[in-house]
Amino acid sequence: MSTLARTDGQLLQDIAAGDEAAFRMLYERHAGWLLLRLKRRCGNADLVAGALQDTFVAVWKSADKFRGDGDVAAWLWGISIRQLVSALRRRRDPDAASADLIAAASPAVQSAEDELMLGVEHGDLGWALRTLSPELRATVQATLIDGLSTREAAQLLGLPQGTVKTRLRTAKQQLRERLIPVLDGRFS
Amino acid sequence: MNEWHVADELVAMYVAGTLDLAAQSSVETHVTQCEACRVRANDLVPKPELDEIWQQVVVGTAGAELPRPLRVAARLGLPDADGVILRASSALHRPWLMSVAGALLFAILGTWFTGEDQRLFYLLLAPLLPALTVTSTYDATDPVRELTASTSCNKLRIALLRTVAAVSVALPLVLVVGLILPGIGMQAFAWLLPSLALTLLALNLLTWLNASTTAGVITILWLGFVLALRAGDAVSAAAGLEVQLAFTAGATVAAVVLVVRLTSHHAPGGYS
Amino acid sequence: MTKTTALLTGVTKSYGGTEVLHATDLTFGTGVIGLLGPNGAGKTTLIRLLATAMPPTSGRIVVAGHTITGAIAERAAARRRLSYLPQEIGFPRRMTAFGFLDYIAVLKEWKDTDERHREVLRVLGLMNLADMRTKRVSSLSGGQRRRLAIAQALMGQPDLVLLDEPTTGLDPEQRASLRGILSSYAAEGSVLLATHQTDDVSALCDRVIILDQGLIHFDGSVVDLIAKARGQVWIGPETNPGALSSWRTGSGEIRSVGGVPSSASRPTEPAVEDAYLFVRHQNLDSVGDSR
Repeated sequence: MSTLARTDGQLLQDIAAGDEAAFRMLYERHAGWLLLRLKRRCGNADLVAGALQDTFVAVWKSADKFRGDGDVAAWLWGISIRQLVSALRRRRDPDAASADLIAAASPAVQSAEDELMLGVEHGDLGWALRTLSPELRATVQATLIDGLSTREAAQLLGLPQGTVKTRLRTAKQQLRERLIPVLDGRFS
Repeated sequence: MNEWHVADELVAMYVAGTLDLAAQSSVETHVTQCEACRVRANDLVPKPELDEIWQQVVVGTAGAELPRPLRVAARLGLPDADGVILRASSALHRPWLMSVAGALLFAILGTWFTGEDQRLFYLLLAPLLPALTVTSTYDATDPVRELTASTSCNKLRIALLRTVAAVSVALPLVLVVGLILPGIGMQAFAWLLPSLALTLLALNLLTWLNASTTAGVITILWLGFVLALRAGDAVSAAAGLEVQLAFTAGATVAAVVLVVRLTSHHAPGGYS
Repeated sequence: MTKTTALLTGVTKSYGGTEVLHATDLTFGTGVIGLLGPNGAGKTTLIRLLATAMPPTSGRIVVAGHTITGAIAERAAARRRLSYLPQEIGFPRRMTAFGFLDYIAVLKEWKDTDERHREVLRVLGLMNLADMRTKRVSSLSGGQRRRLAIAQALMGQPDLVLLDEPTTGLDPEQRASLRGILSSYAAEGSVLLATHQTDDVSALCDRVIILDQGLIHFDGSVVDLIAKARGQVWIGPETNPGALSSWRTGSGEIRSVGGVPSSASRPTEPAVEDAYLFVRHQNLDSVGDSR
């Protein structure tokens, strides 16, 4: 009887046409997880709230720029993390900015049994990530996982761009070294 | 389709931040692709928190942001409410457009005319411009004149705000153009008093008439005056002392009348 | 005990030698009050006087305890306690619905930005315009513009809400929802509603004042007004001879107000419309007699 719920892509098309109800619906679908994920990047609640707010304001204004294909959630995350980067860059005190960052402040490394119990699914890559140092992990999270460019990652982490590039190269090399024997082992 | 979903304990640890990077990124990657788990994430954020951010989003998308010049002014100390008044009355962008158009007009036509004609032309247009830009700031809000009259804001203060904004935009440009035009030069300062007189006259008329009528009346009056000067071959005299004194007297009279109108509770734009 | 929100004493208004409102004494308390009368009766004049949009020719007007015919400070104080919807409202071009309300709120001295925006959103929601907030006013329909105009009158907590023909362009459902909104304002203050339509009065008002040619012909409760026409309204196969007015009802019979009923007619309960016609005719008659 009821019409099927609109997909995210359809919502964006409607938003581009000025449909405010669609805009509210998109917010309700995505604001929660975006906020949670942003909080895992920055400890300052005001900055995070501001970034989320700016994200949706940007979505309202540029919903027509979303290419119909592709993942809306990923697109939204791309906007959010960049809004957070801008907000951190605007902060006048660089020390405070990096203190706000949680980056990859991973407390404990999960034990294998915990992993099993929790049913974490990330296989070999996850295991290889675990072997990286915290700085390299932070770089990997910003670039490979969050999709930032090295320049943006540098702004997020409060590091020179050259440092980020070096670390990223090192991280990729280490991951390759860890993974190739495993993969070789699979196919041999 | 992958049927694995994030376990509740895992989610709790994710929210608490006790997962390591690998597990965290695994959860995040999954959530990006799984609508069901995104719905679960929504339940984990307190609704008031999301609602408050939504309120700000609504305000941010309501078309209520001020244009750049007013944002700059806000940073320099202009109260937000005044910014709203100036934006509503187009008190910046309209005077700006009019001044630029006026300056272009001067520049073009100023090179066609020489000597006496150039002075005439300048005398005709230059004092009108500030007066008309002030009048135009009322034009935008004339439709709500009746309603405005019934509000408690200080109408005089609004008049001053609009006048200062409009004049500070219109005056410099036209002055500069005058100084540049070879036939005018320092005489450009001579029209400052006529500008003042005309602007005060405009403010007076605005206590009776609406903006379009006021603009029309002022233009016709000034046109008539300048043509009369021309007929009496007295255009150069416009820069002379007698005429300047006459304008000072005129401006004073206009100011006095304006004060009288204000005390009898008639402000520009409506009964006060 | 209702409070007095407005008081007029000996108020007259003349335009260019013609007196459009004759010496008027009125007291307003809480509730929704209808100002009913034909066009040109003086309703808009009365509303505009109370809204402080113009001064009276003579007399004294007190709004929310402040004498608006006195010093300007008193007038400003009164203005803070009232709101006004003019009969014809123009909108500045290029403003959005939100922007328009934001501007009016600033004129009403809402200085704090957050509070002001919250209030704007609140009244947009009340009038079901939340989804239109970013639309230019020029792209709104007539009914939406009227609702926007009503919305500005709902901001704050005015003691006196003055509405000049608010229901123009509203459909019956919207008018019904307006009733609910106005009754919440009427609990603590007065809502004065000028209209020439009797169904506005029956739908929205507790008290009604009938104004015609600058004079008050009736001032009392709607119930009392209807009582005036009791026994004067009939339904039958034909119009009563000498009836003030008659029309065909849905069932095909004729409803007559006044006149001499035939044996085939039966009396019926009057509506506001009937009573209004009756009262106006009565007064016109008496005016005629006194000449």
